[in-house]
This record gives sequence, structure tokens and C-alpha cells, in this order.
Amino acid sequence: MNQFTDHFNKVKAKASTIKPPSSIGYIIPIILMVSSLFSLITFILSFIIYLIVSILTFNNGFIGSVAFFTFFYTIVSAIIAIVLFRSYLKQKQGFKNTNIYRREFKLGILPQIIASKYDNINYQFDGMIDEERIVESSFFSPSVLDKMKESWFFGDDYFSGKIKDVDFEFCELYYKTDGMTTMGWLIILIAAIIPIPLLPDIMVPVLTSYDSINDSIEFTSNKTETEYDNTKVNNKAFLYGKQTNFRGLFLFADFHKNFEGTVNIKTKNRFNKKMFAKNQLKTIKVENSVINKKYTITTTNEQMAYYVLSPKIIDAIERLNIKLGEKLSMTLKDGKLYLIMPMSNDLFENITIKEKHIKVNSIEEIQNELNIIADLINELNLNTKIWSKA
Amino acid sequence: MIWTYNRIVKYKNHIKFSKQNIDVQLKKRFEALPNIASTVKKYLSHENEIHTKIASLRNSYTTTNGSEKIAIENQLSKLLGNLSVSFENYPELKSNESVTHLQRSINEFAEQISASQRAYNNSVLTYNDSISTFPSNIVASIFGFKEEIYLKIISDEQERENPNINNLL
Repeated sequence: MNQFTDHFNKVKAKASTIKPPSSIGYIIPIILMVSSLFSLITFILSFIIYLIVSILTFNNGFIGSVAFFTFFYTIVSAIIAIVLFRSYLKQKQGFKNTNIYRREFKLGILPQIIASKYDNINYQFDGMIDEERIVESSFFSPSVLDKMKESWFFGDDYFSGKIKDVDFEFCELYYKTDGMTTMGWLIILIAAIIPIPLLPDIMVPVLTSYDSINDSIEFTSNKTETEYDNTKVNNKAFLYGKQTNFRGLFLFADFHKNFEGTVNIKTKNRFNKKMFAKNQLKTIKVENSVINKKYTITTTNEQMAYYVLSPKIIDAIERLNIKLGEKLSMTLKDGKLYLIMPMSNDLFENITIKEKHIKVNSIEEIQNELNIIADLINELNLNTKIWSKA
Repeated sequence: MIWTYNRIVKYKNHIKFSKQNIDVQLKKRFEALPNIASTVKKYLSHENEIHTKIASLRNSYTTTNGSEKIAIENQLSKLLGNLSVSFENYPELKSNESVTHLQRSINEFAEQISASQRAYNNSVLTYNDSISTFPSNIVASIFGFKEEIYLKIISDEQERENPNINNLL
């Protein structure tokens, strides 16, 4: 226990020295951008007046100077604003990805907390569920545009073993893509429609300068703890670059009924549009209006779907929905359960990054997060074996 | 109008299909009755009445039609549901493989029948929605489509009657 106390005291001390980037970092670019827009309007007006005056008289020196100055100011202030704003975003992203003695926590402290809570569970801090299983879950079916991007999975905090005789695998999962975003393609399309000789292969390097913000800045001065972990960064690409499409938990477990076919229970929540491609399966409704409102249920076989989704399972999904949030989605396929849920924060960490500060997690909070695995298995009644599943 | 009419007809056909599926599931259970009866005879020989009742229901089933058949099916559902519970009264049977298998079979039949009935009700819901909402209700009234009735499903064990088999028989 002393080892735990020492670790968390050390983390608290380090966390208190780390501050988020100052809000001046985005106030100045905003002021510059507003003044740039004002200057642009002034330039347009003065340029029009300059043209009119030029036709009527030769004495247009002053207005010409105004037009030149405002044009110059618009360009320079806009460039400075963009540079400052990007710098602020990088600092903010770096703050969000701060690690404090993470390796020590993951390799030394967390396994002990897990062992005190569960028997017969294997833990790997850098492990991931087999990619084949992730793909067959059909959660990550890309759209036509997404298929043109490079995509990959990254996982950590991998758990496997048995809880109440139910075989399961669980991990935190990231699904990322790298390439042109829909907005990027739109700009190329506009550029192609307007007769400007700009081809995609010329545009890509240009757009790359607006690449996703993904730099990680290390705040800790202790070099032995330096971890530049770009894979865990929550990337957001505007036109071109790396994009994090999913960040959350993934559970793979044995379902308690034997069946052949697929039932998809997918949240109607907005996040799913980034990853769930439309399928040709038959949509069904269940006898629970909350579930019908929040989820789209599709299946390869209606009879089998109702067999799998017994009223008890439907009620369990509703309870999980209340407990864990409505972004939870499930695929039931050939007697197996695949479950995903996006999370805004990393689970099983010694710290949580808030907007303005770093919160050091307590052992109780980490234990509560570990309860999620057992909760899912208990709620879905996976340990009740039926028919040939015995 | 043609599109709406065709859509309603498709939904109505789907109800027929779902109804057939219920029959298929009921038939599966019916075909398994001899095995159930023989297991009961072997392991619950002192509960002669159960065996007799199953045999009697089986005979009646083949000679009746329509609403009588539905009544027999309901009786059979209750009997099998409660038979499963009655095994709990004989702890020495709990570890018996044949009995365990029988219990699972009964549960499986119950779940499959319940699933087919729920699928039927979903078909009825889709059809009823299509003939009662605007503007397809106009087409439905022109061609005389009527609302279909939902099945009442007993899927939860708590809803079953007294689990004591002696009281049941």
C-alpha cells in the first residue's frame, strides 16, 4: 500500500506544477482575425473608390495608399493569427496528452489493483484484441471516401480471461484514418469546377500544411518518464491528415445462446455516422420504446434476432444505456458478443485531464472503472448458459 | 397509389410468413413430445399423470383444428413450462444429463416460439402502421385492408401459473 501512496503523492506533486496554456493564446489570434476582416472590408471599399477616382481625376494618391496598406495588413494579420492559433492548439493538445509516471503506474500499480479485484484475468497494458475480431464486429465499416484513406487500430489496457465462467476479451481501442477528409475533397472539387489548374496531387501538399493537430508536448522534466505517445492522441483533421474516428472500449465475449447470423444494435447517436456504414440487413423493432428510439436494430434473420434479443436482454441494454450512456453499440454474431462504447477519457489511468487542470485519480475510482467489465457481463446475463452453450 | 398498395400487400404477406413461422416452431416442439414423454416416464415414474397428460394432448392435437388447436398449444406451453420447474422438486434429477437436456430443450422451444410470436407481432405492427397512417390509410380504406390483431405472448416464467405440477394436473 505504501508503494501506492508514494506513487500517487509523486503524481500529485508533479500534476500541481503543470498548467494548461493561457487563454491569451486564443484571444490574441481572435482579435487579429477580426481586425483582419475589418481591414479586408476597408481594402475592398477603398479599392473601389480608388478605381472610381482614377477614372474621374488623377489625384488618387491618398486612397491608393489606404488600399495598399489595408491589403498588406489583411494578409499579414491573417497569417500571424493562423500561426498563433495553431501554436495554441498544439499546446492545448499537448496538455491533454500529458503523462505523469504512466509507465510506472501501468506496469507496477495497476496490475496489483486488478489482481486484488479479479482472479484469473490477464492484463497487458499495451495489448489489443485480435484485429480480425475487431473487423468482424462490423462496427468499423468505412464509407466509400473512408476506404480511400489509410486506416489502422491501436489498443491498450487489454484484459482477457474469465468472469463468472464467461470467456471475454476487453481493451481500450482507437480507430484512426489518415488521408483527405470530406471537406478536403470538397475543396478539391470546388478548385476543379472553377477553371484553376489545380490537380489533387498538387493540392495534397498544400492541404497537408493544414494537417491534423497531433503533436504531443511533454510537460514533465523527468527524462526517464518521457513518453511521446502520438497513437493515443485524439486527432482531428480539417482537410487532410490523421483523424481519430473512435476512441473507447471494446468487449468481445461468449454469448449465452447458440445461434447463426448477425444482429446489429447500433446507437443512433451522432458519433456513429463516422464509422457505421449502412447495411442491407432487415430493420426490426422491439417491445421497448426507449431502445427503438435510441437504437437501430438490423439483422440477417428476424426469427433469430427475436430469439437472441429476449425481453430480458432488451431490458439489460436499457439498464446499460442508463448506466454507461447511449453511445453503447453491440453486434451479436454466431454466438459471440461484440460491444463498443466511445469514451471521452482514457480508462485505467492515474490522472484525468480536465479543461483547466489535471485530476489525480484515486484507487477507488480506478476500481470503479474496472467494475465496467463485470457489469457488462452480469447485466447481459452472459453467465446463464442455454442449450448447447453448456 | 400503386406503390402504396404494393407496400401494404407486402406487409400483409409478411404477416402470413410470420404466422407460418410460428407453426413451424410449434411443430418442432410437437415432434419432440415423444422424447419429452419418455424422459418423464423414465425419471418421474411416480408422476404418471404427467405422462398421460402429454400423450393425451398429443393425440388431441392431431385431431383438432383452429381455435381448439390454439387452446391445446396453450395448455402444452403451460404444462412444459411447469414441468421444467417441477424438476427442481427432485434434486436427485438435477445432475442427470437426460433431465438437464430435457430442461434445456423445453426452454429452447419456449424461447423459439416466443421469438416467432414477437416477430409476428412486429409484422402486425408494421402492417397496422401502414394502413392507419396518412396518406396510405386512404389506399387501405379503398381496398378494404383491416387491422390485424396482436398475439398475447407469455414469455416470462413469472407470468406462468402455479409451478406445482400436482396442482396443474
